[in-house]
Amino acid sequence: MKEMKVLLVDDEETFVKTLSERLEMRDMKSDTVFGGQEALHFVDDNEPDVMVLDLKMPGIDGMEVLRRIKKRYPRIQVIILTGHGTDKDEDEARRLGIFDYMQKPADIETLAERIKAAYKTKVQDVMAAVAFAEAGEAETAINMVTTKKEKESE
Amino acid sequence: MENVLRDSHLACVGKLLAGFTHELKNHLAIINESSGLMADMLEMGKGGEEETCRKFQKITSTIAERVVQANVLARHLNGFAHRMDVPDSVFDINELLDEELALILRFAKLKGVSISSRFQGGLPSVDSNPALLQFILFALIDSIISRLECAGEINVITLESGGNVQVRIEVAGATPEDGGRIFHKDLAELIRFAVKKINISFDGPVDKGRVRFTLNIPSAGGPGAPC
Repeated sequence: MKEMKVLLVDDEETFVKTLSERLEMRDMKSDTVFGGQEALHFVDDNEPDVMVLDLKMPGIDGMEVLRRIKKRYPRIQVIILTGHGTDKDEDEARRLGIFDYMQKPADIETLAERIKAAYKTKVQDVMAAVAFAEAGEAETAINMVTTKKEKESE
Repeated sequence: MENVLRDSHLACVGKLLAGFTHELKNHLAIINESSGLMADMLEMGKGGEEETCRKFQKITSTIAERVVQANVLARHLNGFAHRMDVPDSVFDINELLDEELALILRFAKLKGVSISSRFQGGLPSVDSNPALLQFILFALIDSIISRLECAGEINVITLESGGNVQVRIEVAGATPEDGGRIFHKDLAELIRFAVKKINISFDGPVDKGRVRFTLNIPSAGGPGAPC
C-alpha cells in the first residue's frame, strides 16, 4: 500500500519539528516547511495527501496558501491547526473546503486520528474515480483525480 | 468625540490582548509538543532508570495539566478581548459571563470569596455593547470582592424575564449596609451612567432585604432592542 504523505506547514520551527517527530513515533512520516511560499513550492514538486497548515505566517499566510492549494490541487486534504483563528477565519477556511479545523495546542492522538481520517477520505475519492472509470465514465473519472496543474500541462 | 476616543481606546486594548493571547497559544503549543515528546520517549523506555522514568512521567503530566489550564484561560482572555472589536453586537450572555467569570475567579480566590453561577439554558441572544456590559459586570463583582469579608459567596444568575435577559448578581449573607458599601457613591455614578449609555435597566444594591444587582438586557429582536 502507498505510504501516506503528510506536509506540516508552520513558521514556528520548533513546534513543527517536534510535531513531526511525535507523528513519526506513531508511524506517520511527515515533511516540514516553515512558510507559505515554501509550502507552495514544496507542493509543486511533491504533492502531499494531507497538509497540516497554520494560518498566521509571515509572507503568504495560511489562508492564501489554502486558497491556492484548493484551486490547483483540490484533492489534497487540508487540516488547519492554528492558535490565531477567529470564527470568521474558520468559516472562510471551511468554505474553501478544508477537512478539519483545529486549535493549538492540539492533542497529538486527536491530530493523528484526523490526519488518518483525511487520508482515508482522499483514498475514497480516488476509489470513487476508479469506479467511474470502470463504469465507462472516463471523463468524470479523469476530472475527479486530475489537478488543475496536470490539466494545464496536458 | 469623547465616545470615539473611548471606543478607539477599547479597540486598541482589545487588539493588544488578542495579540497577547494568540502568542501565548503558540508558546503553549510548543510546550505541549515538547512535553509530549518527552512523554513519548519515556513510554518507549528511552528515559534511563525506572525511578527516573517515573519522575519524568510525573513532571510531564504536570506540564500537560498546566497547559490545559493555561489554554482555557487564554481562550477566555481571547474571547474577552474580541468583545471590544465592535461597539454593538448580538451575543450569548452566558458565554460572555463564562469568559468574564473565569478571568475574575483568581481575584475572588485571593480574597477567599467563592463565585457560583446558575445560567438558564436556551436564552435568547442579547443586543447590546458587550465591552461596556463586561465593564459593568466587572466593576460590580470587583467591588463586591474588594468589600466582602473572607468566605463570602457571590451567585451569578441568568434567566429570561419579560422579553429581556436578566443577569442577577447576588451576595449571599450580605446585609443592606454591606450593599451600601459595595455600591458606593463613585461606583453608583459610574454604573448608572454606563447602563444609561447602553440602554439597559438596572436595580440594586438592595432588593427585598438582600444584596442583589439586577441588569435587564434587551434580547435581540425583542421589544427593548435597538432598531
